[in-house]
Amino acid sequence: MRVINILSIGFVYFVLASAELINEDVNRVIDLRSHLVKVTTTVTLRNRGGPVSEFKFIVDPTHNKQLAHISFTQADDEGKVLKKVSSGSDDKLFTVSLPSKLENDGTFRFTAEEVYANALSPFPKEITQSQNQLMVYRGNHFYYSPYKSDSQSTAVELPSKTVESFTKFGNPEKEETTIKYEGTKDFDNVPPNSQNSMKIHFENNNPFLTVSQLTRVVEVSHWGNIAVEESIDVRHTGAKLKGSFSRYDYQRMPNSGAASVKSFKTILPAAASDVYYRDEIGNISTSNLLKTDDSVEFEIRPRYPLFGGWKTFYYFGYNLPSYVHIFIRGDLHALKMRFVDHVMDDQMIEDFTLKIILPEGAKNIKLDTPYPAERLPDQLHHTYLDTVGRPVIIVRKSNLVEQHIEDFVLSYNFNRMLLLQEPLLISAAFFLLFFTVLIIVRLDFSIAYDQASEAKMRVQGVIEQVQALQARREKCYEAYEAAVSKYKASKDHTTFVNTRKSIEKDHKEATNNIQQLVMKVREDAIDTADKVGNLNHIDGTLRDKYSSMMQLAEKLISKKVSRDQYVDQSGKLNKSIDDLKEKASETVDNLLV
Amino acid sequence: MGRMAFLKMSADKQDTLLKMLVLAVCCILSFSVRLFSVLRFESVIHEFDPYFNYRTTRYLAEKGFYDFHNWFDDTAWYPLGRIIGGTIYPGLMVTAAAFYNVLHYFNITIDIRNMCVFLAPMFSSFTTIVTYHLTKQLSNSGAGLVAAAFMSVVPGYISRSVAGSYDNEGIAIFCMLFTYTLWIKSVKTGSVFWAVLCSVAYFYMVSSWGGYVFLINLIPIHVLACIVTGRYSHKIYVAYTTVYSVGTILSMQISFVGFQPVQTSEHMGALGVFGLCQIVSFINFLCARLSSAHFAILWQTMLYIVGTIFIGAVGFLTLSGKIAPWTGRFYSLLDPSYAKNNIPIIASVSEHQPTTWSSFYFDLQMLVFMFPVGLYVCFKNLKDYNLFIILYGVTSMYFAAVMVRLMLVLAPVMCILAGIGVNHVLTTYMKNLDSVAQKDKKGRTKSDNSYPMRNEVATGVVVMMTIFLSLFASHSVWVTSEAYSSPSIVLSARGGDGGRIIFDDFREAYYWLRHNTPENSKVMSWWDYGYQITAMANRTILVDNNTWNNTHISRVGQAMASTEDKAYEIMRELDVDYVLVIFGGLTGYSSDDINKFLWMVRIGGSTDRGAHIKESDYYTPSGEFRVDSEGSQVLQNCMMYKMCYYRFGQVYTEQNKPTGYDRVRNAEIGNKDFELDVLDEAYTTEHWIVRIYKVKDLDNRGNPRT
Repeated sequence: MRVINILSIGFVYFVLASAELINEDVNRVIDLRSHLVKVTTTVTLRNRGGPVSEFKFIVDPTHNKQLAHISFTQADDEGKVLKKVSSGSDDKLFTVSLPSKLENDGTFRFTAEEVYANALSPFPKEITQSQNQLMVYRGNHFYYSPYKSDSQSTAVELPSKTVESFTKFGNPEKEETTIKYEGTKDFDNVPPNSQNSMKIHFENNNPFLTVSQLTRVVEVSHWGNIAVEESIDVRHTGAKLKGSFSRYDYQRMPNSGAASVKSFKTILPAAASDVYYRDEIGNISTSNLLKTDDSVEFEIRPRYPLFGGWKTFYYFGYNLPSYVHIFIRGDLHALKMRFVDHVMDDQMIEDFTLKIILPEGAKNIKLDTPYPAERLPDQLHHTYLDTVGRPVIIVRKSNLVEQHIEDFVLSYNFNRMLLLQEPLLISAAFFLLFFTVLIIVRLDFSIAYDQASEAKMRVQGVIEQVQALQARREKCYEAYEAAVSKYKASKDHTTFVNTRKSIEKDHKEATNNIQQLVMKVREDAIDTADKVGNLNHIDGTLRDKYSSMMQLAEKLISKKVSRDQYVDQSGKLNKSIDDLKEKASETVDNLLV
Repeated sequence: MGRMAFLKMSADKQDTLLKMLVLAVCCILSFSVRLFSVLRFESVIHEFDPYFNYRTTRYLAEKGFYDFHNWFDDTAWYPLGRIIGGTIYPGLMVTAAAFYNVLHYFNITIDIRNMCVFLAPMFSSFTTIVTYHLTKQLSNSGAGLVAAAFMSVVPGYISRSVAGSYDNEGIAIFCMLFTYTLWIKSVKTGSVFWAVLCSVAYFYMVSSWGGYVFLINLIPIHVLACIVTGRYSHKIYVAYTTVYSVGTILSMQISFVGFQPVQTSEHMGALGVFGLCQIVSFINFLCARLSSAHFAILWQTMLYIVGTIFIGAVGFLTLSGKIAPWTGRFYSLLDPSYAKNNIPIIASVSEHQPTTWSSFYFDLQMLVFMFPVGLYVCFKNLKDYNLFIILYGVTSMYFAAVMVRLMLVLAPVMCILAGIGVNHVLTTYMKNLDSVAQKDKKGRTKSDNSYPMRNEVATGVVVMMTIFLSLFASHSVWVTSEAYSSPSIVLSARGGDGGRIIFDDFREAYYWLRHNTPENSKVMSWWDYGYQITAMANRTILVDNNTWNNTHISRVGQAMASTEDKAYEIMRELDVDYVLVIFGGLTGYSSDDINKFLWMVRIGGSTDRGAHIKESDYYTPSGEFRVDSEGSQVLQNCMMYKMCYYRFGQVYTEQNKPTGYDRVRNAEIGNKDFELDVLDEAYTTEHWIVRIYKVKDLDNRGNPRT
C-alpha cells in the first residue's frame, strides 16, 4: 500500500512539474499549545511556466492520517476562502483553484490551515499524580510540497518553557515558548517533497480531552420551541494515571494532578434557556451558568476530575426560541442551525451524530450540510400526542473540530393547520372520557330489575315535575295580585275580567296536571302523594282567598264597600295568603325528604 | 326564582359532589405533599432497596416479563449469583412496568425512572380513596372522609411513600387496605362474589410485600373472635372459606412464596381457623338436629379425640421438618430480644429496632389520642365488622411497638379509628350548636334546662377539634419536609453563609466506578451499599441488601475486621478488585462504616471461619469503642480502620484541633501514619465520604504483598 502511495505521489509530481510553480517564501507556524496540532502555512507561489489556474497541496505524509481539518485562504484579500477539491485516494492530496489565472512570473500568496488530532503522543505513557505531562511531537522540518521552495521558516509554539529536547537541525533558536527553525541555508532551496524528521519533547498540561461520541438531538416544535440535547462521551487522551489517586494530594498540593481536567466551558447560543446537565444516574449539581450578551457560558464540571485514561458520559440540553432558527414562506419552512456546536475549546469529536426531529406531518425534507456528511436512513419518533410519528433525519460524521462549527439548512413543507391536531386530540380524549363516564353513570347496565330504585327514580321525576308546576302556580298567584292592583288603578272592568279568566285557566291547567301526577305517584310512594295532596289543598284555599280578594276589589270599584272596610278585609286576606304561600313553599321543599 | 344552580341540586347530588370534592382534594394533597424531595433535589430514587427495585423494573420494562421471571443476576453475590425472579415479590415492578407500558402504548413517553419515582405518591392517592371506602364500610361516610384526610398526610405512611421511595411498602399499604375493604364487604354481604374479589386483592398483596403474613393472620383472628363471641354466622363461613382457599391457591402462584402457605408456621393459624370453621359449622348442624343430652356426649368425645390428633400431627410435622420453623423476623416480632441475641444481621438493621415512644407521637401525633376514642365508638356499637378494625388496631399496635418498620401497618388503622372518633365527637357536638339546632316558631332556640351552656360547650369542643386538626396537618407537613424527604443519596447541609451545600459524593463514586473500572470488576463493600452499586455503578458486588446468605456477609465482615495480611487472603479468595468504604470523619456524616463497624465485627465473628474475630478485642479494656490513641490496637490495625483513615492523619478538619480530627466521633485518630501494603487508593470523593481502594495483584513472583 505504502509503495503505491509513494508511486502515486511521484507520479503526481511528475505531472505537476510541467506547471513550474515554486514556493518563493514559506512561513510555517506549528501550534502545539493544545492537544491539537494546528499548522498554519503562508506560502508565496511564483509561476515560472505557462498560465495556471490551480495548484496542488499534499498533506505531510508524517501525519496525514491525523488530519481533521484543512482550509485554504487567500493571504492578501481579506482571507477569501479558496475552493479545494480532494483528488488523492484518501483525502490527502488537494487541488486548489486560484481566484484568477496566474500568468508567467506572477505571484500568489495563500494560507493553508491544517488541524491534526492525536498527533501528539504522551511520553512517558503513564505518569503519577504529581508528575507533569510530557508530549512528543514528530513532524517535518520542511514544508512538504510538490514544488521547490526558495526559502522556508518554521516557528513551533509551545505551551510552556519546559522542553525536554528538540531536534537541532539547522541550528534552531529557542526563545521563551517558541522554537524557530529559520535563517540558515538548510532551509533555502529545498527540493520538492523533502522530509526531515523533527521531534519535540515538551511539557503540555493543557486538557487532553477527546469527545469519543456526541449525539446532538434537535427537536423542532412549531409551538415556538426548539429543544436541543447533546449526549457526550468524553475521555482524557493524555498520559495515563499511574498508581493511586490521592484526594489529599489533589486538594492540598498546588501542582498535583496538573494534567487532569476539573472543568471546561461550553458555549451555548445566547437565546438558550432551561439548561440541564445530567447523566445516567441523575442530575449533576456541579455546574455554573453565566449569561453574557452574545452567548451563555456553561461551565461543566464532571462528577470527578478527569485524569489520563479516565472517561465520563453526560448529557445536557436547552431550549431555543424557534423564531431565531426557523424561516417560513407559506408552507415552506427552513431550519437553519449549527451542524455541530461548541462543546469545549479545542474540541475534537471522533464520532458525531446529528438527529433532527421534525413535527408530525413534515414533508419534502431536504438537508443541506456545510460539508459532506453521511446521511443515515430516516426514522420515526413517537412521543406525546403523536399518531403517525415524527420524521427523524440522521446525519453522521467523524473527526470534527472547532472549524466545523457551521450552519446546516433543512427545508421542509409543513401545513400549519396540523398544529391543531394536538389540542383536538386532547379535547377528543377528554370528551371520550366524560362521555364514557356519562354512559356508565346514566345508563343502567344491571341485568336484574331493581324495583325499589326504579320506583325511587320515578318518584324523583314526578317530584321535579310537581315542583315545576308549583312554580307555575306561584306565578299565577303573583298574576292575581298584579291584576287586582292594576284594576284598582285603571278601573277597567272588562280587561280585569278577561285577565282573571286567563289566569284562572292557566291555574286550573297546572292544578289538573298535578292531580294526574299524584295519581301516578300514588303507586310508588304513598307519602309523597299525601304531601302533594296537602299542597293541592293549600293551593285550593289560596285560590279561594284570591277569588274573594278579587270580589272585594270589584265591590270596592262598584262602591259596594267603603274604602275603610276594604282596607280592613283585604289586610286580613293578605295575611292569610302570605301564611299559605309560605306553607306551600315549605311543603314543596320537603317533598324530597 | 333566585336560587343558585348549586342549590337547585337535590340533597343527594350535593352530598355526592361534596364527598367527591373532599376526596379529590385529599388525593391531590396526598400526592403533592410527597413531592418535597423532588422539588428540593430532583426526581431521584432514594435510599437503598428502591435502587434494586428500580433496576429490576428497568429490566422488566426493557426485556419483558418472561426474561424477568427467569433472570439470573450474576452481578450480585459474587460468585454465587442470585435468581431474581424467584427471590422477590414482583408486584411492585410489575405494577410500575404495566403503567409504563400502557402509557407508552399511548405515546406518552414517560421515563421509567420517573414512573418509579412517582409510583408511591400515586398509590398513596389510591390509598386515600380506599381508606374512605373502608371507613365508610365500618362506620359512615363522614368518618370515611375524615379518615381519608388523615391518611393523606399521616407521617407514618408518608415516611415510606414519598416520591422516590420506590419500595414494596409504597403499594402494599394500598393492597392491604383494599383487601380489608373487600373482606369487610364480604363479611357484611356473605357473598362469594365479594369474597373472590377479596382473594384477588389478597393475591396482589402477596405479590407485593412480605407483610401479607400479617393479613393472613389477622383475618383468621377476626373469624376466631367472631366464633368466640358467638357472632359466627353463615356469612362469615362463606366469606372466610372462600377467601382462604382461593387466596391460598393464588398466593402459591408467586414463586417466592411457593409452598410456604401450607408449610410454614406463620400460615398455620389461617389453616387452623379454616378447619375450625368446618367443625363449628358441623357442630351447629348437629346441634340443630340432635337433642341436647346426646349432643353433650358427642361433644366431649369429639373434643378429646380431635384435640389429641391435632396436637400429635402438628408436633410430628414440626419435628419431621415438614412445617418449617418460624423465621427469625417473626420470632423477633413475638419476642423483641430474640433477634438481638441470636441473629446479628437482623438486629443490625435500624428499622428492625423497637419503636420509641417519641416516634409514635412523631409519626402519628393527635391520632394517638383519637385512636382510643375511635376504639370506644367501635365498642359502643359493636358489629361483626367493627370487631375486625378493633383487632387490627390492637394487634398492629403491638407489632409497631416491636419493630419501627411496622409503624407503617399501624398508621392506616390509626387513621381509620381516629377518623371514626373525630367524626363521632364532631357529629355529637355540632348538633348542639345554635345555628344548627332546631328553632321554634319564634326563631329562638329551645333552651334546655338540663343542659346549660349547651351552645358554648359545643362551640368549645368544635373549636378545640379544629385546632387539633390543623395542628395535625401542619405537624405532618413539617415532619414530611424535615424528616422524610431526604433522598439520602444526595446529602445537603447548611453552609456558613446560610447557603445550601450539596454533598453528591455517593453518585460521584458510583459514577467513577461505572466509567473507570473494568466492566467485570468485583467490588467489595458492606452490604448496605450493594444495591446502589449494582444499580448505579453497574459493577459486580459481593453482598447486598438482600441479606440471604449470612456466611457470605460474614466473610466480608471478616475481611473488614482483619489485619491487612489476613484480609488480603480473604480478598484474594473472593476475587475482589475494588473495596469501597463510607467515611464521614471529614464532613461529620454519621452513618458511616466506622459507626457500623461493630456490626461487621459481630456478623464476621458469628460463623465458624470468623471465630478468631471477637467483639471484645475491638473495645478498650473499659469496654469503650474509641478510634483515638486510647482505642484498642486490634481496631487500629484492622482493614476498615486503615481504609477509612488512610492519609486522614494529615488533614486539618476543624480549627483549633490537631490533624486527623474525626468530626463524627469527635476524637483525634490514634493511628495516623501508616501505609497500605495490599491496597492502592483508587478514588476518594470530594468530601471523602466514599473511598475506593484497588486490591493490588500478587507481585511478580506470586507472593502476597505483605
